[in-house]
Amino acid sequence: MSVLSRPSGLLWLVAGFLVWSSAFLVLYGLHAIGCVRAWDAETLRGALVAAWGVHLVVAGGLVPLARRARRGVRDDAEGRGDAEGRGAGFVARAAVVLSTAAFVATLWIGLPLLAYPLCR
Amino acid sequence: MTEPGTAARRARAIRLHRALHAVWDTPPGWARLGAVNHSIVGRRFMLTALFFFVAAGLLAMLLRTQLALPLNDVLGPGAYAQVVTLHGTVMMFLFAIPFIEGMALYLLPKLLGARDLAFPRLSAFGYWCYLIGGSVVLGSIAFGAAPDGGWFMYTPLSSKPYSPGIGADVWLLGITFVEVSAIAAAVEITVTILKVRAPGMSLGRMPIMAWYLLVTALMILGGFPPLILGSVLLEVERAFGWPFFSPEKGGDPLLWQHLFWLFGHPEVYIIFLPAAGAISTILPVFARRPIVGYAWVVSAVVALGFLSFGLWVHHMFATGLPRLSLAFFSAASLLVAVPTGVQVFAWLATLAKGRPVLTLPMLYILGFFFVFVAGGLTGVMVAIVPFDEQVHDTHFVVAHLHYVLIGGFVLPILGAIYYWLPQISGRMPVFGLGKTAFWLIFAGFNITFLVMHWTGLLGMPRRVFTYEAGLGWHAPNLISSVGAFVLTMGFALVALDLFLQLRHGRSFRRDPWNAGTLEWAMPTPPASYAFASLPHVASRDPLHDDPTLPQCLAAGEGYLGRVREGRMETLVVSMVDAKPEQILVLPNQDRGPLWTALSLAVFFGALLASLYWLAPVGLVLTLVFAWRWAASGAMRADPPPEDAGRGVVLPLHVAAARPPTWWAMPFLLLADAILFSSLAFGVVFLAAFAPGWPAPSPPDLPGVAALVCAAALVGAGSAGVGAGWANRRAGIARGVARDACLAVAAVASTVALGALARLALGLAPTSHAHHAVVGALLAYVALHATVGLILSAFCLRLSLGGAISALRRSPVEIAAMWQLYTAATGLVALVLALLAPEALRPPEVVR
Repeated sequence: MSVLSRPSGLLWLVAGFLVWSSAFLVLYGLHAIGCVRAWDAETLRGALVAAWGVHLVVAGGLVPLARRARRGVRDDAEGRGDAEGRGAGFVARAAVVLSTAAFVATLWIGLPLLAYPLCR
Repeated sequence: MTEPGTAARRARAIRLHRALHAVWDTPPGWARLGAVNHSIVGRRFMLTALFFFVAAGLLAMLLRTQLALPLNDVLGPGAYAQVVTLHGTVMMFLFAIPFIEGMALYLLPKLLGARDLAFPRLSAFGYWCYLIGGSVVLGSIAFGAAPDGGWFMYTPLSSKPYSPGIGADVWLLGITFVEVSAIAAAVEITVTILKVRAPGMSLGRMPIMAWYLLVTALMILGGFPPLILGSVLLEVERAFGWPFFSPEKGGDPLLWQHLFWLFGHPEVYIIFLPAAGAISTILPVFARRPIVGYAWVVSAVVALGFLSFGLWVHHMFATGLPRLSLAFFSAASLLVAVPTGVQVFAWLATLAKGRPVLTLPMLYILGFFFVFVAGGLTGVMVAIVPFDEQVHDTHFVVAHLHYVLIGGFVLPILGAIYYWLPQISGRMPVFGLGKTAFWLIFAGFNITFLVMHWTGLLGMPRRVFTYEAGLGWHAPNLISSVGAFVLTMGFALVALDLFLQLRHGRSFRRDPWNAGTLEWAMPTPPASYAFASLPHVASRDPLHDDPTLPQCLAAGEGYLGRVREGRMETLVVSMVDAKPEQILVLPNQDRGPLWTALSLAVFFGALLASLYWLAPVGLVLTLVFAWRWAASGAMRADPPPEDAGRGVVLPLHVAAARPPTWWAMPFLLLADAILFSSLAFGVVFLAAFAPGWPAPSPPDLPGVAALVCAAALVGAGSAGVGAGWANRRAGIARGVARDACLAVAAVASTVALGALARLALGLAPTSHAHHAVVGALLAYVALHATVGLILSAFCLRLSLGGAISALRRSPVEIAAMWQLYTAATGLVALVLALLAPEALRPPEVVR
């Protein structure tokens, strides 16, 4: 039985966007705390960019993992046909799309860090 | 097939129908109070929601009449505030969401190839909560006691000093009661889609509507808890003076806005997604080809489910947050257009590659394209912070939200009603009123709301009951009011058309639209059991694969094609690949849900009437009925596996390791965890940002009591897990260990409650928000420890009565999950209560 055939395999569908959610909340929260505690600008921007970078690495890392899981499902289904119709094949394909989309979304929401004033 | 063969098959089908009907049918009359069948409950939800739609529509007519002329006096300021608040509240909470729930409850088993939902009684319970709560909210206007603080109930306007009447309490308690129904429906929908499908219907073969409803249900589990929490906190502030939102005592009105919009923005997508699901279902049928990019659309829907939670602050662009904070939300607001666009392009591609037929449902979908895309574009406009600051709180925003909600929900849902009404009624329309009605609605809507953008750009603010002449607002307002009456005439014509279809419509044999999904694989109107036997699914369009499938199923040639021991049965399958796993035995005709909902109504009613001594009575009654409900399916012996048809032998669900009830728990806990996270967010938000901190005297929380509480919670969690572990194998020693663990868990929960009571003695919650938030954390843990105590006692009672074994183990495992969750959140809550307020203050005010 493929890993993606198990109920826990469904986590692949949401893993990328869970990282995106974490990035969003951490950036928003860290920025708010940094401003209220009057961190100096370099420290605050550095902390924000570091947090963004960590999330980008994790979100980016999920993409090849999802692709590898998909290859595993394909190998598993070889000779049986209809890999997409079977649940694991579909989950694998959607997981690749969603983890890629989540990586792009994580990149996108952090871009204002590079251009905006911090606490005004 | 030969004639005798056909006749024999028909005879078998009739015999099977009679046998199933005898078991599944709910007779008319008083027995209907105990109805739990998904078709009945789903229809009730939809009809009640449509009643609320009509009521809210009439309220809108009053508003437009008042605004048609400057200095008009149809409604005074107080009445206008009540009418505008109820219009929004009823449309959002009592029409849109419940209609979706009703549609999902009615359709899902039929789409998924099942006979009923996973928890029919839970749906019935949800319906009664909705009916009672909704009636109180709407009925309040008859007594001039309706809420009047806007559908979002912003503090401090909705706080006691500025809304001293009962109206705000009606909103907070009534809507919270209705939200119990939404959470119940969301758990029901999630578990049903994941576990109660036809064998072979893997996730990649699910009807696309099921994907939309799954994501919607999960969004309800994520989106509603923040509002439930906010409502509870505001009601506690109003009733008992705990100052969560009062800045003079360390609260912050912005906390309400955060909690409300954490719910409020996903709510827009919670409403939109099922309507989009209807489009993704209906459009390919009339385009005569499968939807283009099924996997892409599913991925877009999942992405939308997440992204829609990253937009809440775009309702707060004018609250003075730093530019960078706003930029995060502005970026997310732009991002959300991408998955929406993926769906729109998939629909267009389906139309382009197909051979479209312009039927009435398609006409509504085309109307949706025009209106919703326009609403989406104005959405992108208000996602840009500088533009939003110009039009904030003007009629431009009113126009935008109506384009999104009527375009994104009402038009596709009208299309869905015309598409699925033949399935419900067994009749097709005979008169051509539907098209006339559509054009009236389309024209009336655009006359009303297109010009309203201009009214907003001219600067007319929202929620004002009148305006002076000479501001340039008269003409556009008059045009909007005329348009609103045209729109109403359109809706009235739809009602007449539907009535005529139901009474005089043309009968049809099966599948009038030549659809491929399973809801058309049954006679219409459908029997209470939906399928005489359950199909094995091999594609996304089973009816197109095998046009004789309906006859085969009716003749009992699928799974469970028989009635055994008078039981109502359907199948449980594996989540991903849909391999058959269990036979789910379902209940019929149970008034338990009604009594439980009425008991809960006593609790909410007592709070509304300030009869606080009566509220615990309501809770105890709720507990009694819930206990009886939960205990009703218990078996005293392990049932043997049974033949499910087609050569498959399966255990009954009570003897399975993970029956649907087990799966309900993680999803319920997900909603609970989001509520807890919202509370933790509230604590951090107030501690770090609210004015008036630190408190003059901080809470006096004895460390020993906190340690005892923490140890007891960990003990209860460990004992709960221990009980589950001991119960996984048969044997006397294992049984004794299980019962001992359950007893230890109950005792530890009691000790934790005692320690929490000691901690609470150190609080003066009305004095400052610091005390209030710590009180809220302790109350959260106390509530969970109490439920943990009850669950442990319940399992012990079942165990001593012989209703628990290594096979029949789900009650013990469910209790273990709860105890573990309580321990984990309890520890976090204690840490937050003891440390967060001091740790989070800015350096200059840390004492």
